[in-house]
Amino acid sequence: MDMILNSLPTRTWNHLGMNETKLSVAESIYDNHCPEVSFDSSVSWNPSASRDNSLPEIKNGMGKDMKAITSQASIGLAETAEGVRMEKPMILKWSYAHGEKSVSRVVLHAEKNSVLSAIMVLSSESELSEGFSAVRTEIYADENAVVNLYVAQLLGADTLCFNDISGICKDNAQINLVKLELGSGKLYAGTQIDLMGVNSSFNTDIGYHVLENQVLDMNYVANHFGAHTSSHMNVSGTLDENSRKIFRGTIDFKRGCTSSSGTENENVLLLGDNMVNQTIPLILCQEEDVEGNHGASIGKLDDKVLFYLASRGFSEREAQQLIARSRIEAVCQKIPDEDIQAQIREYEDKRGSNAND
Amino acid sequence: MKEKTYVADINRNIYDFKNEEKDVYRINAGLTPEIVDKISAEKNDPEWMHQFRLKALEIYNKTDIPDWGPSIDGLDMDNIVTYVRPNTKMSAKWDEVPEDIKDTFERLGIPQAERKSLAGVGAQYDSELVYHNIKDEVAAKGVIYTDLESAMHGPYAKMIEEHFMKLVPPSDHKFAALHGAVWSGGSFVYVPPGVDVEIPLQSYFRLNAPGAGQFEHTLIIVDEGANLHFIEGCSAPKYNVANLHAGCVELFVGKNAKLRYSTIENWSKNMYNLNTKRAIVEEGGKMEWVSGSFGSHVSYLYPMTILKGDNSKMEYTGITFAGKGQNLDTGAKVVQNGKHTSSYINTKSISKDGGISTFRSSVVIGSKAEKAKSAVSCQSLMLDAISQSDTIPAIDVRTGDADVGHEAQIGRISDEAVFYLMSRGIAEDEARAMIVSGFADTVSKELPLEYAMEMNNLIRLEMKGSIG
Repeated sequence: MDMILNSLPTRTWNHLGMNETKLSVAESIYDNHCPEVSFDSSVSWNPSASRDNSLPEIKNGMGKDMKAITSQASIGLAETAEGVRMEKPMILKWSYAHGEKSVSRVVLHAEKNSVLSAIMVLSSESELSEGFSAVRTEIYADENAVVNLYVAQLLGADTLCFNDISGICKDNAQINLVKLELGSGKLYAGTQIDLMGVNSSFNTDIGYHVLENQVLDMNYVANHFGAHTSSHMNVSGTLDENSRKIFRGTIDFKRGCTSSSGTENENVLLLGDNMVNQTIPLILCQEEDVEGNHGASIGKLDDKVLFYLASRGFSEREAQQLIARSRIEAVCQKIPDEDIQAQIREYEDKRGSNAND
Repeated sequence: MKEKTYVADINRNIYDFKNEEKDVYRINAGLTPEIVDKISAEKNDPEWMHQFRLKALEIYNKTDIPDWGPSIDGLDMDNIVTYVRPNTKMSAKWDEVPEDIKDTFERLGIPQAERKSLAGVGAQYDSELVYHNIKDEVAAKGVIYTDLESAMHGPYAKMIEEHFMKLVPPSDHKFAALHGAVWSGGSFVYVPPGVDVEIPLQSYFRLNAPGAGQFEHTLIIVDEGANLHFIEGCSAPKYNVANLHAGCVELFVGKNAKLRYSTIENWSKNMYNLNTKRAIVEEGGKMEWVSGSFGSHVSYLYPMTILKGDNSKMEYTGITFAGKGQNLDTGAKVVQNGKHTSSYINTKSISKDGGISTFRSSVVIGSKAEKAKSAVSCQSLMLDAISQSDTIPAIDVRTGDADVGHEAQIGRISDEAVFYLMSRGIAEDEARAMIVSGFADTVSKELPLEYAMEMNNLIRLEMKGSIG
């Protein structure tokens, strides 16, 4: 099956190969994979919900082909009732068997004045497992609601992974997304958040470490419709030798989103050689009274840092791995669960030792 | 409700005058092999060029229009006249140029500029050069500055055949193919090794004929250790029918040579400006672009530099002003293949009165480009809420030994800055004018004084203090 994923909201030169990703995926019947979920009474969870008609349809993050492939998956629906503020996040774990090919859908709905927090962990039977994982998450943040979503992607090295997140914010609502993209041989991730309500916001921190022969393909879009909306995208990661990564990031100020602001930053550390690093940070603007900023910094490890670490007894390779690890750690520490933090560190240790073998 | 200050559009009166077409030769509108044959015969092409044109036409017919960028639906090639020859021959004396054409260039200040500050001037009117001259002392250094057609039959014929559309092949895109098929006019410049041309050369392109296209080709070769500043100006009166400009500029910068290419583009607002500019830079060479885009209805303009040689450099400084009815898609491209190469792209754009300004760039750093550096900075100013300003920068790095930075800002005139200036006794209108002029200042200071003044005329941001 030929798929088009992660299209830019507006096109540029085709020869750059950044407008979208075209992919051929073997035709298959995918299993439905329900995550293992732990939660307390502050949230309701229905593993096979029918779609709640009161929730509007929203455009998904990776495009219509991803929507089609996940359309038959049953929906896991998590909801916080009006005024309920979750203290402890719910945890959704996907553990994939070797060779498993499955699709999943999750809807997170925070009603008025509520807080919904969820941690998603995707892992495989072993670090070298193969398979296919497609997870589509839809977020609805009602008036004054907050949705905190943390995603740790720790899949096996031969897994193909699609991770799609879309969301809609009403007045004064907030969506906060923390993502760690570590595993999978090929990972395609797309996120699109519509800031519809006045004073709504979207904040995201993304960390990645792309190892040799890995592919990471990302597309993040913040659509500012409401007045006084804000978006912040912070992306930080490391590319090893012979790896490939593209980051597409768009802040789209629609007409009428007065007094809004958006920032996006990407910081890429290049280790080794022969990698492909593509970055395309867009600002689209149809409104005068806004502030938009984006920045990108791409380069190898600073010689002064290397020298300092060498003077402390670290070899160049060790120094590079230390800095790469510190970038992951900065994002990892934002995940509010120590066991999952430990799982991420253990995964990175194993990945690091496999890469060095 | 925030107070609004009206920022006037660019005053185009000095460019917007028309000459009656008389005794001119117009080829039929449209694009067929027969029309290409006729143009080729008119130009007295050598056979290789005739065949080149026909091949380019084939490519044009097979190539789709871009699926990105501003709409060019209003451009119907069946209605565009690709060749219009004024009733005169090229001359090296202004006195021999017909009165109405001479009057056009005098009103644009070209002869005066030649006397005061230029080493040579070429003036193209519709499809043909009508004047070409170079100062004796510059010619004495071996500098060649002539029209491309006669150069194809002179001692530089082989050099032209070796370089013509090698940097921008007709297969590059549809309008490069169109250019290859129907090109006409333009200049050839050769600066011999070690020669420093201290004052600039200038070509000025004027399109007078309604519904016509201008397809001039500029080919510049700056040999090893040489230095040149070349200035290009263009304007046209406004008509109710679409005009097309699909020129092509190919620049070859030799080892340790330096070329600065400055452009003030002020086509009329019925113009589709689909121009292609490209430079290749050898070891230790430097390419500098200074670009002001003010005119045209639709513009696709992204000067590209290929840093082939080690230690080669490029700088691009550009400003774009998109007013009512304009959709200006501008920017720059650089490919860095040599070691220790560096690039710096610095742009400003202003959108007002419904104008759309898009900054589009690409920085590609190849796998062999050790220690390559690149910095891109773009700033956009929105002057009202009915305009649009987009930023689309692409970065592609294929070596671990590169250092690349990018920053962009978009916003409006800061209330705090206006308040600060007003607190110092400056009226609000004037304060806003100062801020906008300051915003454009980084580009105007890169131009020679005369052209900075022309640009300031163009950006005559007449702040009229209407409140409300």
